[in-house]
Amino acid sequence: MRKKRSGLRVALSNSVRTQDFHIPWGDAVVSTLITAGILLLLFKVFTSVSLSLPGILAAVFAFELILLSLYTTAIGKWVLPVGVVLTAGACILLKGDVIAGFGALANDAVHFLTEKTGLIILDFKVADNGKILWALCPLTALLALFISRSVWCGAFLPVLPLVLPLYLMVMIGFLPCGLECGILIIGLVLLLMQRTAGRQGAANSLRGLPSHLIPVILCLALCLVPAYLADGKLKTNAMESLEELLHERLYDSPSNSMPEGRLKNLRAWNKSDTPAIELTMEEPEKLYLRGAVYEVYTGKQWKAVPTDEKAEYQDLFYWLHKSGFYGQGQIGIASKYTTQAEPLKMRVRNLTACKEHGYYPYAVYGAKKPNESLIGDSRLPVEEELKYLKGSVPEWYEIQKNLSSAQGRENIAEYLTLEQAYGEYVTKVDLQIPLETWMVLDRQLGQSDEEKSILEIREIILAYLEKNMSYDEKIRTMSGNGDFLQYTLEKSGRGYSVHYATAAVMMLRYMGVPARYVEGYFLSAEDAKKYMSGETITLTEEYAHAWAEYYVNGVGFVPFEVTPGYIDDEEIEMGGSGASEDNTYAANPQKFAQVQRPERLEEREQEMEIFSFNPQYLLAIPVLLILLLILLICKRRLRLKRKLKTIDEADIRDSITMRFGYASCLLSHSTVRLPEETAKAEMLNREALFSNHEMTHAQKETVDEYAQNVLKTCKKNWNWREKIRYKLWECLY
Amino acid sequence: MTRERLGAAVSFLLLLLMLIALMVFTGSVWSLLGMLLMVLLPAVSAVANLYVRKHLRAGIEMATTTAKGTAIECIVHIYNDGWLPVVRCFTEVEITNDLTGEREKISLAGGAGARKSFTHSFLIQSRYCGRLYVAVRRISLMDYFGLISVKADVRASARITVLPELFPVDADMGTAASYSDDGVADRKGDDRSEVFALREYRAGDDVRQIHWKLSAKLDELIIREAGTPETRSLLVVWDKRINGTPAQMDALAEAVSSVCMGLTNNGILYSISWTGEEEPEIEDVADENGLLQAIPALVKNAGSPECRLPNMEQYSRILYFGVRPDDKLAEDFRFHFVICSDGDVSGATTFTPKNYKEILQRLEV
Repeated sequence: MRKKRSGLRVALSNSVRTQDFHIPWGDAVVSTLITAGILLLLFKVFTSVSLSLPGILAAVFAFELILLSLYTTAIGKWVLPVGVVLTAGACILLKGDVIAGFGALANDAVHFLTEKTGLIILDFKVADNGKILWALCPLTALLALFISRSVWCGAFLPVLPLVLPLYLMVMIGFLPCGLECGILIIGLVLLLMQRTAGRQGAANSLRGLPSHLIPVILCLALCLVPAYLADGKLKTNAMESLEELLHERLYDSPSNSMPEGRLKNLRAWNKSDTPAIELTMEEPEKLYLRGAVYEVYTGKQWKAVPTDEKAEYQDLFYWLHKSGFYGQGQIGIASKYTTQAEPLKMRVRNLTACKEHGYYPYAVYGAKKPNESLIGDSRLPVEEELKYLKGSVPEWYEIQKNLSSAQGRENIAEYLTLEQAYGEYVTKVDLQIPLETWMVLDRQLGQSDEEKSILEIREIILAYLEKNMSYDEKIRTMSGNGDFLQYTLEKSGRGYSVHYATAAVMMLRYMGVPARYVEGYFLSAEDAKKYMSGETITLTEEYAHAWAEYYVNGVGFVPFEVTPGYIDDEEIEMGGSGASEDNTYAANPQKFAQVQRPERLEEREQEMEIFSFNPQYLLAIPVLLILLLILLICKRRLRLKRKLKTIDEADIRDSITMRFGYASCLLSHSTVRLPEETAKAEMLNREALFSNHEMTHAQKETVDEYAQNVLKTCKKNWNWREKIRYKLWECLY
Repeated sequence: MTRERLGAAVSFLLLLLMLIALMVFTGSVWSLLGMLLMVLLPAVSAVANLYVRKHLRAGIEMATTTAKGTAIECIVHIYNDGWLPVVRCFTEVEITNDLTGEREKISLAGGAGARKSFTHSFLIQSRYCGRLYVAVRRISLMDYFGLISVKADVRASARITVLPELFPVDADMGTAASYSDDGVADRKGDDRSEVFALREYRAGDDVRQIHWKLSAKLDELIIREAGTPETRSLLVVWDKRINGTPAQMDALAEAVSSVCMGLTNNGILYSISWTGEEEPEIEDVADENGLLQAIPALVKNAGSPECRLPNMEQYSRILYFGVRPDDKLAEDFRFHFVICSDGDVSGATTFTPKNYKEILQRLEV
C-alpha cells in the first residue's frame, strides 16, 4: 500500500550550507596529516626526493588550507573537478618535463623494487633525472585534492584506497612503520572524528578548534607514555611465522628432517626412510646434491642475503648473467675452458624433499639457466634432467690449476675477469660474521695475524672439531635467543651435520675463507658403488645432510666436509701427507687472512624504525596549551576591537543604540548601582530606536560618555579576578 | 541516526583491526599509539558528554503565522553552557500539525565548542492549514567516533499557525415562512402576543387568554396558548469530533473561514463555534477583525471525540460543518449541514477537498 503523501515538508535550509567564509583549521590539520603521511611514506620509495619534514608539512598545510577555504565558498563544489582538470592541463602543457619527472619517479620505484625483491629490473630511459619535482607537484596536488575533499565531506572510506597499498607494504615490511606511519595513523584517527563531527564541513567539524583539540592532545600525551614504555617490547615474529607456515604448506613434507636454516632450539635429527629424492646417474659416484644454500648467519638461523643488500650488486649480476656467468654452475663453466670431459646425464626427481628449490650436483653442466633477473646465485631452479661432470674436489682443483696456467688465452682472460668480479662479491658477502659469533671464535680459536693456506685452515678446523665436539644425532640444542654456535661450542659440544656445518662455515669465515652453509642430500662413494649406471637411486631422509662449502678462486664453491662419519677416504686422501703433490689442498697457493673484529653489533636484519621518545617532550604540551590560549585571547580581543570599531563607524542612530547596548551588557556583568545618567541614556536609546527624526552628534556623545562612565564604574566594582576574566576571557573591554 | 552509528562503528572497527594487524606484524609502537587513542578518545568524550548534557539549552525561533505552501525558516539554537565542547549532537525535532494530525521528524546534526552555541536552520512547508507544533524531542550527544550516545534532557518548542486561504463566498441568510422577526408561531411558550394554539379551557388556565369571540361561536370556552419569543440568530459550528483526512480538515477549515468571511462581508452577525480538546469554543463575530482573530484558534487543533457540541438552543439557524452529520441533529430543522465527504449526503450541501471552492461559491443559509 502506498504511503500517503504528507502535507508537511521539512528540509534543511540552504543557509546552513553556505555559511560565511571561514577558515577550516581543523579540517586543514586532518588533511595535512593524512597527505603528509602518505607523501612521506611514498618518499621512502622515491628516494631521489629529498625534502625536509617541516618543509613538507608547511607546504602541504598551506595548500590544504587554501583548498578547504575554497570549499566553504559558493564555488566549493567545483574545486575538485576544476583542480583535476587544471592539473591534467598543466601536465599536458609541460608534458616533456612531466614525463621526465615520472620517468625519474619510475626509476626510483624500480630501485625500490630491486631492493625489496632482489630482482634485476632495468631502469627506464629518462631524458633528465633532475625533473622529479615536475612529476611530484601534480601528484601532490591530486592527492591533496582528493584527501581534502574526503576530509571536507567527513568521509573515511574514500581515503582507504589511497592508504591500503601503503598499509600492505608496511605490513609485509617493504616500508618502515616509523614516524611517517605515525603521522598517517593520527591523521586517520582524526578523520574518523571528522566523520563523526559532520559532513561537508558545514556542521562545525572540529570547529572551536582549541576546545576540540585539547582533549585529543591530552589523550595523545597520555597514550605516549605506554607507547614509550612498550618500545622494543612489541616485536613479534608474526610475519616470520606466517612465512614459515606458508613455506611449510607450499613446499615441505612432514618427513623433511633438515631445519632449512632454522637453528633456534634445534631438535634432534629426525631422519627416516621416507623416500625424498629419486636419482639416476649415468655413472653413480659420490655426490653432494645442493638444495638450499644460505649465506647469512644471524645467531639463530641461516638465511639468504637481504634483498636491500643484494640490490647493491644489481649491476654486477646483470653484467655477469648477460655474459652467461652463473655462480650456480661455475665449475661447469670453468671446466669448459680447460677440459674436454663429456658431461654425463643425471635425473633428479623430487619425491618428498622441499619443493622450493632444485637439487644440483656441484659440477652441473649446461643446466637450464637460473632466473637471470635474480641477484645472487644461491637459488637453484627446479630441474629434473641435468648434466654433470664426473669428478670431485680434486678434479675441481685441477681445473683451477689449468685455468691458472692458461689465463693468457683470450676467452679464459674474459672468464677470469668475470670470475674476479664475482669473487669480490663472494668475498664481501660470504665473510660476514656477527660480533657475538666472532667473539666466540676468538675465544675458541684465538687471534692470529699470520696468513694461512687452505690446508692449514682445514687442519685447524678438523683438529678443533675432533677435540671439542662429538657427534650426536639425538641432541636437542636449546639455544633459545642466544647464539647457536656459542651454545654448540661452549655449552653442549655435541651435534650432527647441521652443527658441524655451521661451525665449519663460521670458522672458515673467521679465518678469511668465503664460505656458505648448504643443506641437501649426500650420497657417499660407498653407497654409490652399489648402483649401476642408470639405476634409480632412492635417497631417503637418512641421506639428508648439511655441510659447508667454500670458494675456490676460478672454480667456484666446493664442499668442505667436517662431520664425523661423512669424512671419507677421498677427503682424507685429499689432505695427503704434508705438502706433498698428492695433497690437493696444498696445491692451492692462496693465503687467507683472519677477518677483523666486526664493528656492527646487530645481525643482518631489516632495520625497523626505532621509536625514540624523550619524555621531556611532554613538557611541550603545557607550553602548546598556553600558546593556544594566547592565540584564542588574541582572536577574541581582535573581535572586540572590530565590534567597537563598528560602533564608532556606524551612523549616529545605530551608534547610539549599539553603544547603549554595550553599556547594558557591562552593567549586566556587574552589581553596581545604575549611574544617574542612565535614564537619559535610556531615553536617547529609545528615541534612536523608534523615532523618525535625526539624532545629533551631541546625543551620540552623551551616550558614548555614558558608556565610558559605566565601564569606569564597573571596573571599580570588579575584583582582580573579575577584571582579568572580563578583559581576557569574556573580552568585554 | 542508526545508520550513522552503524557507519561509524564499521569505520571504527575497520581502523582498529588495521592497527591491531599492523601491531602484530610489525611491532610498531605507532600502531599501539593509534589503538590506545581509539580506545581512550571515545571513553573520554563519553565521560565529557555526561558533564555537558547538564549544561545544554535549546531554543526555537520562527514566525507565528504563515500561509499554506509557503516555506518558512525555523531556527533551532543549541546553547552549550559547559566548559567542554560538544563534538557531535543529534537534535531530533518533531513537527506536528495539530489540525490534520500529520507528523514529521527531522534530525539535525551539529556540534558546538565550549561556551558556544550552535544554530541549525530548516524549512517547513505545509500544504494544509493548521497549527504546527515544533518541538525538540531529544538531543543525543555522541563521542568522538559516534559510537556511544548520551541522551540530554533538553526541551524547546514553538508554534506557528498556517492560516487557511480564504476564497470568495456569497453567503446569506434567506427568509422562510416559518420564521418571523419577532418570534415563531410554531413553538409553545409564554409570549402572549403570539398565538401558538387554540384549545378548550381547562381549570387553572388564565381567564385573560379566553378567546371570547370563538368561545361564543363554538358555545364552549376556548383559550389561546402563547408562543416562544425568538430573535433571528446564526451559529456556524464546526464539529471536529469526527476527524477527517488532512485534506478534508484543510478543506473544512477553509470552507468555514471563507463562509464566515462571506457572512461578515454581507453584514450578517453570527457566532462561530468549534469543538475543542475538552470544551467547545465559541466566539461572536461582529466584524472582519473578529473573524480574523478567531481563525487561528479555529485551526489550532483537531478537536476531541469526547468534546460536546456547544449549547445551540438560542440560535435560530445553525450552519453545521463536518465530515459527517450528527444523526441526533438530523431532525432539527434549524441545521443546515455542510459536509465534506466523498459521498453524497442527503439533505446537506456536500463538497470534497477538490471542489469545495466551486460548491461553496454561493451559500444560502
